[in-house]
Amino acid sequence: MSHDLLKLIVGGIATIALYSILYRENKFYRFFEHVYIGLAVGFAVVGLWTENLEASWWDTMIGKAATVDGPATPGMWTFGLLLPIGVMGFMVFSKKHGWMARIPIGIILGMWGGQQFNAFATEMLPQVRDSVRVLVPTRTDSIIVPNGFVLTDQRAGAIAQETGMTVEGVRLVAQNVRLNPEREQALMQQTGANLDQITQTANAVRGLIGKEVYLTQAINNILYTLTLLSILCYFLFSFEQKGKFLNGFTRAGRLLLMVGFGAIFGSTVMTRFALLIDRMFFIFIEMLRDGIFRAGGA
Amino acid sequence: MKQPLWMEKLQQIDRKVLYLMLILATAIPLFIKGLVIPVKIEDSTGALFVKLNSLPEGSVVVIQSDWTVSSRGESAGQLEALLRILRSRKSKFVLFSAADPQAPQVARNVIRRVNKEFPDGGFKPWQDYVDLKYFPQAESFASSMASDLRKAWDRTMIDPADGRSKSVFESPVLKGVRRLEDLQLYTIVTASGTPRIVIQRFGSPSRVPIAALVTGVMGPEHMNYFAAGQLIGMSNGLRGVVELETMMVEGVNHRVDGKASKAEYKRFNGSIPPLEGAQYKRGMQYFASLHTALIMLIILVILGNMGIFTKWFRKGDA
Repeated sequence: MSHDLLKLIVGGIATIALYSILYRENKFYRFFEHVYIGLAVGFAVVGLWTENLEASWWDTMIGKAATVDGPATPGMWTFGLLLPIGVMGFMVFSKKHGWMARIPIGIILGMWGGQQFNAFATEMLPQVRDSVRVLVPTRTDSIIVPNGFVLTDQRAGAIAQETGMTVEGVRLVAQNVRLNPEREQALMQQTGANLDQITQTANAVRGLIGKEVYLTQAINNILYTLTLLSILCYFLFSFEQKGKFLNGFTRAGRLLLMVGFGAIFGSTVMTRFALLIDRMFFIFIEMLRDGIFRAGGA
Repeated sequence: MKQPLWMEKLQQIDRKVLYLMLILATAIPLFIKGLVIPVKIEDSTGALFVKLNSLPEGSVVVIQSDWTVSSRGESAGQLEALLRILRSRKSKFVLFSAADPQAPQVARNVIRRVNKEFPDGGFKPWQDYVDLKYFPQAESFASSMASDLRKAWDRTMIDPADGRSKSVFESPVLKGVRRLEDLQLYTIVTASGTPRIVIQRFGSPSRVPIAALVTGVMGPEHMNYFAAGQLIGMSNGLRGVVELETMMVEGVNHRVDGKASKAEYKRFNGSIPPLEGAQYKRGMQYFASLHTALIMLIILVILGNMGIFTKWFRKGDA
C-alpha cells in the first residue's frame, strides 16, 4: 500500500468517525476527536516555529557565521528580551504571578489601540462617503442606464479632439458603447478609425454615462437611503422613541435588518453545505474511487 | 383520538433518515461527469476576473492565504482558480499567511496540485513565486507592510539554481519591488475577516488594489467594502468559485457564432476570450451537489411547516 493511499484511508476513517456523532455518542467518535485536537495543537506549535519564529526571531537573534554562501550576519541578541516578555503571558495560569501576564497583554492592547483611530477612519470613511447618494435622477431621457448617449456638440468635439476621431464618428460610437467584435468591425468600416480610437471613445462616453443618475438608479438609491436611516433609527437608544412615524420607521428598520440577516443566513447555509460536499468528495471520490478502487484495479 | 395525517407524520421522521438523505443528496451528484449549471456573473466576481485578466505579463501579485482545511470546500476552489488565472497571465506571486500557522502548508499543497496540470511543471519556487511563510499578529504585520515592505518581508529562501539561501528580494519575483505601489494586486483568500485588517492599514484609497476571495459566511459583510470601492473585486463562497470557472471556460461577454455569451458581465464593456485549456473543476463539481442539497432543504422546510400548520388547524377543529 502506497503512502498516499494510506493517508487517504486514515483521513477517510477519521472523517467517518467524526460524522458518526450524528448517529449517536460513541467511543469511535471520542477517540478521533481527541486525536484531532492533539494533532491540531501539535501542528500549530510546530507550524508557529517552522513558519515564523525560526526565521523571524531565532535566526535573526543568533546571526550567521561566514560561509561560502555569503558573509557573516551579526546576531541581534536584544531579540532575546522578547522571550521573557512572551513567557510572562503564560503566568496567567499562576495565582501568585498572574499580574505578569498583564504586561504582554498591555503591550499588544497598546499597539492595537494606537492603530485603531487611523484604522477606523480608513475603513469607515469611504463607506460613509458611499452612503451619500443622489436621490433625484439627473437625466430623464431613459429609465434604465442606457448603452448609448446623445452627445452635445461641445462634448462630441472634445472627445473627437482627444481620440483623433471625427465628430460624426464619435457620435456613431456613442449611440451604443457595448462593443463586441461585430460592432467594432462595423464601426471601423463606417468611421475609418482604428480599434484603439473606438475603444477610447467608448470609454469616454461610458464615463459620461457613469456620471449621470437614471430613474432606476435613483429608486435604488432611495431604497438604500431609507434602509440606512431606518436601521440607524432602530439603534438610537439615547432617547425614548415616541410618535407613530418614528415607531413605524424603526419597526421598518428592524424588519429590514431581518431581511439582511436572512440573506446572510442563506449564504452561511451555502458554506456549511459546501463543507459537507467537500467531505463527501473526499470520501467517495478521492478515497474510494480514485484511491482504493483504482489501486485495487491496478 | 384522531389519526395523524401523513403531513403530521413527516415531523416524526427520525433525524438519522434526514442525515442519510443529505449524504445521498450531496454524494450522488459528485459521480455525474460533465454536468454544467449556468450561473449569472455577479458584479463583484466579474470585477475580480477582469482585474486579474488585465494584469501585465510578469506582474507581481500577493496571495495572502488565510484558510486551512476546515474551509477546503470553498477556499481550495478559490485558490485553485486564482492560481490558474495567474498562470494564464504569466504573473508571479508572493505567498504568505497572517491568520494561521497551518495555512502556508495548506496553500503549498494546493500549489503542488495545480502545478501538476501544467506540462512545464507550473509555478516554480524562487522563479515564479516566493513563500514568506507565516506572520503572526495580522494588524501589526499589515501596518509594517504599509510602512516598510522590505523590512516586513525580510525573509530568506533557497535559490534552487545554486542551493544557497538568499534574501527573497534577490528573487526574480521581488527584484523590483520596494513598496506596496510596486505590486499589481493584493489578493486575500480567507475564511476569516483579514481583508478588513488590510483595508484598515493600507490607507484610503489603498496604495495597492485589494481583492478578496472569501467563504460564504464572510461574503455578505465584505460586500460593503466592494460597494464602497475598497475592494476591487470579490469572490463569494462556492458560487464565486463557479463564477470564476465559468468565466475561465466561457470567457467574458465572449460571443461564439453570434450567440449570446454564457458569461455576461454587463459592467464590463469589452470581451475576454476563454482561457487556454480552461476546464470546469472543483467548483462546478460541487455545484450540482449544492443545488440538490438546497432543494432538499427547501422541500423539507416547506413540508415541516405544512405539518405544523395542519396540526394547528386540526387542534382548532377539536
